[in-house]
Order: sequence, then C-alpha cells, then structure tokens
Amino acid sequence: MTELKSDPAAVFAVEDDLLPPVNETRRFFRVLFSRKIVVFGAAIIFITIVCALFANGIAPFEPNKQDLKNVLAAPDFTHWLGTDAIGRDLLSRIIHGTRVALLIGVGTVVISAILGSVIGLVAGYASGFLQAIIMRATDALMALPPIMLALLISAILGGGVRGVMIAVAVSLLPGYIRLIAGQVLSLKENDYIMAERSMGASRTRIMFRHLLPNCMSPLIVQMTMMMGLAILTEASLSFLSLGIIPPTPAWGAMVYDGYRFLLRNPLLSIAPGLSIMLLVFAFNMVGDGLRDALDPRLRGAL
Amino acid sequence: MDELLRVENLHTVFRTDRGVVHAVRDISYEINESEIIGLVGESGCGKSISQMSVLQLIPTPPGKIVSGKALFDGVDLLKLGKHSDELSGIRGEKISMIFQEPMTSLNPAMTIAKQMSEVLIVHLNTQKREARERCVDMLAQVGIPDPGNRIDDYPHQLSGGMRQRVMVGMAMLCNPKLIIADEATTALDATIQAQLLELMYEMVRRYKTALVLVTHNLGVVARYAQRINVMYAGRIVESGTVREIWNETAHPYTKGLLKCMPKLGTALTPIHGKPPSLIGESVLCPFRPRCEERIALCDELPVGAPTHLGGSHSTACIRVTEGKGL
Amino acid sequence: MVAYIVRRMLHACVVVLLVSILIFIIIRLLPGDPIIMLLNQSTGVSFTAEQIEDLRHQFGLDKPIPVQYKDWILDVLRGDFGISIINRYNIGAEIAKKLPVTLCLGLTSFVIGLIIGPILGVISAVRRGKAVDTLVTIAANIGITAPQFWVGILLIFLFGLKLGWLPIYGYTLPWEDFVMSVKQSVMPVVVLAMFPVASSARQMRSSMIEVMHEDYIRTAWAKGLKEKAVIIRHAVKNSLIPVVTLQGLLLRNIVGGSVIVETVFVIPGMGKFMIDSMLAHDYTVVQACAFIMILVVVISNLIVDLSYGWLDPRIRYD
Repeated sequence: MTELKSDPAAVFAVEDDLLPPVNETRRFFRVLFSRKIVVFGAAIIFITIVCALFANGIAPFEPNKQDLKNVLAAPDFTHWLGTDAIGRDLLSRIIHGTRVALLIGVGTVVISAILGSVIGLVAGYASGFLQAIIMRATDALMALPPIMLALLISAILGGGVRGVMIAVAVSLLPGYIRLIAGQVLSLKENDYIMAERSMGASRTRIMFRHLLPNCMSPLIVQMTMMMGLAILTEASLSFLSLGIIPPTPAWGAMVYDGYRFLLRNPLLSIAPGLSIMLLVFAFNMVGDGLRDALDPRLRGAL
Repeated sequence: MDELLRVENLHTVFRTDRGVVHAVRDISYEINESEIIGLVGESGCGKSISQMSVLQLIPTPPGKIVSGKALFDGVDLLKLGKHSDELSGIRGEKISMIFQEPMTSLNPAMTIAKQMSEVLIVHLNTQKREARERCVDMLAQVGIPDPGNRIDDYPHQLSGGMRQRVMVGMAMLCNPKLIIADEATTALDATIQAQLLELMYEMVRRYKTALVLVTHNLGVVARYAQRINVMYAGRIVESGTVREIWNETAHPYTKGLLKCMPKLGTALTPIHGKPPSLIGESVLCPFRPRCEERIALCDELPVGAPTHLGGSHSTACIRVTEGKGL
Repeated sequence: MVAYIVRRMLHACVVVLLVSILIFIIIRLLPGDPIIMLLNQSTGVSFTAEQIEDLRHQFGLDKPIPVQYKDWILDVLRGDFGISIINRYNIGAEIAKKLPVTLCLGLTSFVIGLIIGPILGVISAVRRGKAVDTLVTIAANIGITAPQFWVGILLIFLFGLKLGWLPIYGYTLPWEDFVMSVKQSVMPVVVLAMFPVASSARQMRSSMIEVMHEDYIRTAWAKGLKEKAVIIRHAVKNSLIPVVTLQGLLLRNIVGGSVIVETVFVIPGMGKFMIDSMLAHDYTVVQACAFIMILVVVISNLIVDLSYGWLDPRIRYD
C-alpha cells in the first residue's frame, strides 16, 4: 500500500467486482427481449423473412396472374383480401411484396453502411483538407431531405430494383458518414488510442483494430433503424411512380394502385400500407431493443 | 439540548438486476438542536442514502424506504407523501441539504439569482426584488467576491469552490434548523475544502443551526463535530462523542479507520480486504471477513441493536457484549 | 453573439452553394438529355440536327458544365430561374405561386410538432409506466413508422369519402378563403405533423426521464419546490435542448413529406410541382425546385441553431 493514498475512500473503494459477475451474452438477450414489443417486432421480421424465402409456396396464387373476369372482387374464401383492378390476388401480391421490401431494406442498408463506414473512418481519421471536403459535402447532403435525394436519383436512373437501391443507399449515406466520423473523432482523443499511437501502431491498424470495433454498437443500431427508413423511402418512391416498376409487386405501388378504388375495396390500399407500417415498426422496435442491450452505460442496470 | 431529529430503524433498499441492495440497514440516531454530528464511513456504505432517505430524496424506483421513522418537530417525515406540501415545506426551509457534486448540483440553464431566490419565494413568499437583495447579501456572507454581479452568472461561469459556496448560501437562506452536508467538500481541492469547512462551521455557529457532516474523512469530523456515527455496510457500527470514539474505540472497524488516518511521519495501516456486497439480507456482522479481532461467536450470533457503553457511546460489535460477560 | 450569427450564416451559404452544385452535377451527368426528352414528346414533328443544336444553344446546354452552372447560379441569385424547357413557362413566376402553399402547410405542421410533441413527451415522462405513457408511446411509434401517403389515404377514405366532413383535394390560401383553407388544411397538416409530433414526443420523453435523474433536479426537490415547479422550471428547459437539435431533422422531413402529401391531396405546391416536373423530365424546373427547398431547409435550420443559445447558456460564447 502506498502512503499517497491517504484518502480512506480511495484505499477501500467499492470495486465493481464485489458484485456477482454477469454473463454478457445472456444479459444481452435478456435486455433485448425484456420488452414484449421487441419480441413482437422480432416475430414480425421473422415472419416476413419466411414469406420472402418461400413466397411461391405460401402465396395461394401467382402474384401477376390476371383474372379479368374477376376484377376488384370483394374478399372471400378464394381471395382472402380480394383482387385488384386486373384481377390479381391481393394477398399473394402482398406476400411476394416482402421480397422487394426486404431486398431494398437489407440491401441498401448494407451497401450504405459499408460505404458510409469507410468514408466516415477516413473523414474522422484524416485531417485537414480531405476531412473538410468530406464533412462539408456530408453537411450539404444532410440539408437535403433524404426522400428528395432518393427521388432525384431514382428519377434519373429510371426506377427499377437496381435504380431504387442505388437511390435509397445514397440517400442514407450521409447519416452513416456523420455517425462514424463523429464516433472516430471522439474516440481518437481517447487515452488508449493515444497510447497505441505513441507506441508506433500504424494508421490502418488503429483504424481497423480499434476505431471500427468501437463504432460497431452504434452502427448496428443505426443499421436496424435505417432498414425501416429504407423500406419507407422505397415505398414512397414506388407510390410516386418513381420506384419499382410494375408488375413487380411492391407495397408502395400497390397502395397507389388501390387509391383509385378506395370505395370499391379499401383493402387494396389499406392492406399493403399496413404491411409497410408493421415491418418498419418491427425494425424500429428491434433497433430500440438493440440500443438498450448494446448501450454500455446501461450495463448492469435494469 | 432539545432533540431536533430522531431517526429510528431506517431501512432503505435498491432494486437492481443483480439483486436487492440493502443500502441502509436498520439505523437509528438522533440530532440535537445546534449540534454538529459527523457521519463517517467509506464510499458506498450507505451514509448518503441514509441522509437522502430522511428527506425522501432517493429515486423511487429503484429505491424504496422499507421501514423506519424520521421524527422532526413531532412529525414523521417518512409518513409524508414524497411530493406532499408538508414535506416540500420542510425541505429547504427547515432542513437543507448540500450535495457532493458542485459541478452538477446547480441547474446549468438558470442564473444563480433565479436558483437562489426561488427558495425565498417558495418558502417565505418574498417579493422578487427583496429576494434578490437577500441573496446578494447571503453570497457576500459566504465569501463570493462582487456578489452583486456574480449573482447573474450561470453556474458554468463559476469555479467548483464558488459553486459550493453558492450551495452553502442557498442552504442557509431560510435559516433552517438542520443542514445536511453530504460530502459537500469531497470533490474540491484540499485548500478550498478547508476554507469551505471553516465557512460552514462559522455559518452554523452564527445561526445556531444543527449540522450533519457526511464524510469519509475522520480528520474533518474530529475537528468540527461533537458526536460521530460510524457507518459500515449500511449499519451504524459505533457512535459516541469525539473523545469517546478516539480514546475508547470499541469497534474494530473504527480502529481500522483511525489507523489509516494520515499522520506525519507514520506509515498508514490500511484495512485489508474490501467492503462486502450489500446485496441480500445478512444478520451476521458485515465486518467479519476483514476483522482482525474476530472470535468464533461472530460467525454465529446476529448483530442486534447497538450495545450502550456509557455516556453517549455505543457499538454494534458483539465482542463487546461478550467481553462484558453478558 | 454577432460574430456567431455571421459565422452561422456564412456556413449556411456554403451549404446552399454546395448542394446546388451537387444537384446540378447529378442532373447533368446522369443519362436523360432534356432536349431529347422534349423531342420525344413532340411526336409527328421532325427536327433537323441544326434545330437540335439551336435548342441546345438556346438553353445554354452546349457550354461546358462549370460554365452552365455559373450562368445558372448567377441568374438564380438575381431571382431568375429561367424557363421550363418542356412547357416554356417562367419558372420563377410558377414558384412564386406555389411556394406560399407549401410554406403555409409546412410551417403549420412544424409549429404543431414543436408545441404538441414536447407536451405529450412531458406528460408521458411524468406519468411514466401509467396508461397515458403507454398510449403516448404506442401512438408515437405509429406516428414514426406509418407511411405518410398511406395515412393520407386512410384519412381521405374515412373523413372525405365515408363521413364526408372534409374536402379530399385541393388547397386555398388562408387569406383568400379562410374557412375553406382550414378545411382543406386539416388532413394534409395531420399527415405532415404526424412524424414531427411523434419524434419530438419520444425525444422529449426520454430526455425528461434522463434529466429527472440529474443532480440539479435533486437539488430542486431538496429546496422544497413542488412537483410542478421542479418539472416546469427546472426539467423542461433542459430537456428541450435535444428536442431542439432534432427540429432540423424534422424540418427536412416536412419539406420531403410535402412531396408526398401534396401528391396525395392534389395540392398545387412546391412538392407536387417538383414531382410533376420529374415525371416530365423537365430538369430545369426540378433544379429550381430543389434549390428553393434546400434554401427553406437551410434557413429554418439557421433559426433553430440560433434559438439554441437561449436554451443552453453554456454555448453562447463559442
């Protein structure tokens, strides 16, 4: 014991290890699923994935099979949700619509997360001119509503799955760049990064061994939240006829198509819209749960 | 001397995901008018929680006052509703509290003037202008230079020591009967600490206010307090006058504390081991694992009410009762 | 303070210029030549190569892109947005007619979000765990996740078609026919304000809950303040800081949402103007619309930034 520690509190400060140890993985899942709403969200996502994978088996009809003798049919036992203006089965189209929603939701988020992380890491770690350029450009893009950026790009690329993916991914990019750059900027000044640097570690090593792993938690949370936004953006583009091109079943476009027949069969608009909302809601709830479970400040708390 | 506050069998728990923390376990003590008493113990022994419990200032949930009484002027403070008018009327007017963190205990978005004068406005119905004058006067008394201008500052424009002076002044505004200083000087530099303690001492003497000095520094209490309560793991393990505690130390934990007080030229003797976890009920002596004077009975007998040793001296150590052949 | 305002304004100008360059480049570099579009539309009439060159020259499209941008931005700064390539009208005059519509709807929604959101958040935080809290939390989550176009359609179906209480399309400016304007505004404003109200409520709730655990709130209790005073005088102002930060994002969302809302309710504002021009590939118009909308976002962000100093005295001097 050293004489320097004259303060009794410092001599026997209560250490955290006095308390029983907590299994981190178990704690993660317990916190994640502690709220019923998160379980509900996870269930919705699971069902959506199953629908997307086995759409052909689950859907009662071909999504694009027209039945012109049976247009705008009311819901009955053959067509549970009725048929649209050219006699296609609504339920089957909704089930097949999970494919576009998930493809766009997951695809764009992964693309923009990877691109955004790399650019953000560079922007946060580089100094001077390069950083200024990237950050100014990001600021500028952030001033633009994401939906407008997506609309512009999608309009020019002419829509379609590929066009929409590029458009949505670009519209999400500034958010990631700012998140990662911000994280890196604050982490960079941390003592342990300073120590690592003073020991002569290379830039790449510091970037990928230390900075990136520390950005993972906020990145995962952001990605889950962004899936909801990506799905919403795609649906809006499709609704405005600047997104997925018919006849590929996309929920946003289906809402638009049903709009004209609201009085005949309101389900044509309501059902696909509800599907969008449920899936976006599910991703947001799971994102919330992940944030709680990954937040180091909350470790050990309720 | 008249009794001002009597706390009986106070028991406070916190619910955490690792279990129920019994932060304060069945403590009893009293404070007389214009008396200064010290409450000593290491961090996390429940001394702050016990003081906040008296004014029902602990966050509920997760905290909960399970049992006990706090009789002040014949009223049991723990029976009053947490947000009741009666309790609000006592907080800040009859009993004031000064907290440990000078950096965060003042509202960052309000000027000192607003934060201080609202105490007078709420309790004494003072007019705004008069309240301000009295606050300036109080700031001068607690040694803030140029109080007429500094009163319009925001907390971040003051140093830690200055902010704590503001807290002392704010606590004194309504001339309360009791001030609880919860580690009020711990976060400050040693010299500032000494100045602030002198200031508080002078102020409570001048206004005949009773003072509870919550601290982990035995030296501080020895200098200012008349009586001392020593807390360990949520219990009061020994209490008595300063002289009794120093000269007739009864509890091994207090002995340990005294031994690790820094003195010039002598090496410190730390108490080995760490304080126990406060999770779960425990009836045996909590100091047992670290105690150098442990006897076989310590592992069998539960610690009961403190044993009276004469004068105002008492201890919870069962060895004392054993030694006296009870 | 003045230096701070000036610096923020310069920063805003830089952002506007940068975005306008970005949009200009996006529109010019990607495929889709407006002249070809125009020619495709005029079926039956054949154009000679010279005529095409002539048209290009007329719209300045034969010059290098940096020069095109310079000409364009200088004109814009003079208030001249040029002429629609396809429909030949003066863009500036069209915008002057449509911008007030979007501003009226957008501002109303923004103010509603700024007032109702935090109030709901405070109620929810103070009654944490009670039925009100559950209700507000669920409603807020729906408000954040429900697609705007879908909610618009639901409202039209319910209040327009089934109940017949409200007109389902069109817009009248309030100074032209106030009653009609209010009737026509209700549904679009509900849709536009849904997201801001919901996000502000959520943010306010969580920051209130956090602030209520701060040391200075404990000090306020210890001073003997009543619950109302603790919440209103001490907690609300501090909790508002992150909510104000959020408003910049919400403004962007309202401007973006106007595209959707104006399409659903057939409102002749900037959003519908922009979508129609996009569908018609009338890029000079799209460019002008995007520029105006960015201007709106940047100016309102500037106001939000400046109001910050009032809430948080700590940042006043940097």
